[in-house]
Amino acid sequence: MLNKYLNLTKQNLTILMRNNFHLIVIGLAVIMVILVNFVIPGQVKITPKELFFDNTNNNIVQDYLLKNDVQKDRFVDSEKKLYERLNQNSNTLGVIIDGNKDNTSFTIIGQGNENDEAFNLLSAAMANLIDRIKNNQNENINIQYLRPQQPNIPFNQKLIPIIIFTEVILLGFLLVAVIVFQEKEEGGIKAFRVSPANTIVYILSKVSANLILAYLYLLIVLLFTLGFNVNYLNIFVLTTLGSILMTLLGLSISVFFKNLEEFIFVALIVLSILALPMMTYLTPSFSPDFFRFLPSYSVLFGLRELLFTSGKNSILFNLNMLLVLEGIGMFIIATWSVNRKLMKEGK
Amino acid sequence: MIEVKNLFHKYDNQSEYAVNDVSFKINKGEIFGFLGPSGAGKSTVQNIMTGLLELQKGDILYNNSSLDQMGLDFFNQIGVSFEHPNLYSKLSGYENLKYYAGLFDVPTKEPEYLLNQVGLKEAADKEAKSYSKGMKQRLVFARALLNDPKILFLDEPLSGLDPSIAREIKNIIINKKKNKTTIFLTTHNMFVAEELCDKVAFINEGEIVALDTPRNLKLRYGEKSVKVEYKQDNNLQKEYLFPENQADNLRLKKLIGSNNIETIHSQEATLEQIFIKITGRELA
Repeated sequence: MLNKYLNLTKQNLTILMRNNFHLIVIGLAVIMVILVNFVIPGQVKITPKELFFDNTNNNIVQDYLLKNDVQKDRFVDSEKKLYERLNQNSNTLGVIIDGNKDNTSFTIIGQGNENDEAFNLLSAAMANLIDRIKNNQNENINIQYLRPQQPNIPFNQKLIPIIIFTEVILLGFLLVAVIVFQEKEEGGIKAFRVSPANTIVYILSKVSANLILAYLYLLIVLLFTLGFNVNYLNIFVLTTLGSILMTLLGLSISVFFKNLEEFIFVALIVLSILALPMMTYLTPSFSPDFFRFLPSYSVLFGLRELLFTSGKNSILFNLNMLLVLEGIGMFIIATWSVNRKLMKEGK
Repeated sequence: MIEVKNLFHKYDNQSEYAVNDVSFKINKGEIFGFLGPSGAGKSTVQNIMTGLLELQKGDILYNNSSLDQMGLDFFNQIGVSFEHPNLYSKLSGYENLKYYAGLFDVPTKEPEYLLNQVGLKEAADKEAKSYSKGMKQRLVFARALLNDPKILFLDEPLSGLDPSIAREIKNIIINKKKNKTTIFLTTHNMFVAEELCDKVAFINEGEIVALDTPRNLKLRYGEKSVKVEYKQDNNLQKEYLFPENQADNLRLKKLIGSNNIETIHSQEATLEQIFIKITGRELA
């Protein structure tokens, strides 16, 4: 059985390479490396940019902020210019500061689409700013951490789990379908069915070939973005589980369709559902419970935990176990589907 | 020995049986021709015999063991050449054979040897997608021989081949028979069947309508015929006449008396003529 599996895996890899899938994967990985290293900034301001017109005596607020590395282009020297800049960029808030050090007032100018939270946050920040200028900070506020404080993760690196996750999901799910449809069209599966190889060998060879492409992508992305500062073994284990699961899912669904055109609509729906955990990743406060049962959730948050550890050791084990259980279930489903739809005809 | 007993098969979307109470026996080392027009049920029977289609009703015995009871080892003993070439188009001819050979548990023949045998040595390293239909047909045939099978299923193996290549393939089939390989040959080409088969079965609308050796079929159903070529208005005309038939006999005498005859040959009735006589259908 091992020889048949290795032989069939080699065949699948040769076909993948003749289809230039390895070049697509390498090209995609290179694009992602360029994006992370040279295009996506390390720091991104998510909230609207504040523009200031400091109308106080001696420009006390402007002076203080400039000394604290706030960029010079955030300040204007007249109310008219402030309105001009606000009109030019809809992702800005304006702040007019009047009065003096002991009696400072603020006027916040919004675009009209902001919520109260944004104004309240800015009001609190400005009040705190004046306290700091007056050396009058509230010393009664203490901050405590459940786990050791983690270094701030640059924004571009924060996207690496999504970059890996997207490829593992796409590659595992779609490429196996492409190969299945190619085999259906050419009839290769019919020849396989009159050979002494079984369905398990067929499925495992598809999974393995896809896995090798996933490793190729993973290595390029990790080596050229994070270098050797990551636990490669754990990442490969997680990616292996995720890729196997997605390949089995792609195989289980694609065998029910005649060609790629019919399959693609269903594929888009499935991929959209699988992409949902990205919403939680980018907006942690939005985390519906059912997202946690999507296999893609385990892959995405497992990768985040491995690349930027939060110190919650049990998370990774739980996510891996969930992937193993889902993988076993999906293997049973894939074996049934392949047996029923590919290995028998005209029942 | 292969024994097919009371085989029935119905497709999901059809009300009639595609195969209706088909029974026959094939002895070891025999070439059994399964003849009939397109849609008669030939491929359905072959697909059931090779396990590609589910055995719904009836039984198929290989050396007294039912197909239902046979495990994957059965596929180590058989070779199947399909009518429509089903190859991996992105793989070369050599790779198609090499990877397929890797699926067997029994010793396999060298791909180079088989490619040479079917005249594809020069094209061995070219991707199968660049092959002509005839080349693909030969590659599928070569693939069926990889495991040196004891039973060979050949579905239209000579279709689309030029005469010289067809001759080579026929020689390979004859040599396989000499080596005691049992061959199930599905075809609608009666000349191929006549030349190669020890026994033939005519299948029409899912039922076997005649089964015997080609010679016995000719003796039972055939009449001696005469092929006459003659000139009429400067055009060459051709007629098949059966002298045992009184009208044909008179026509033949009239043609001879006209002095326009170019050639005249007596001949046996062909299997095709017999098939038409039995079923009222043509084979093409």
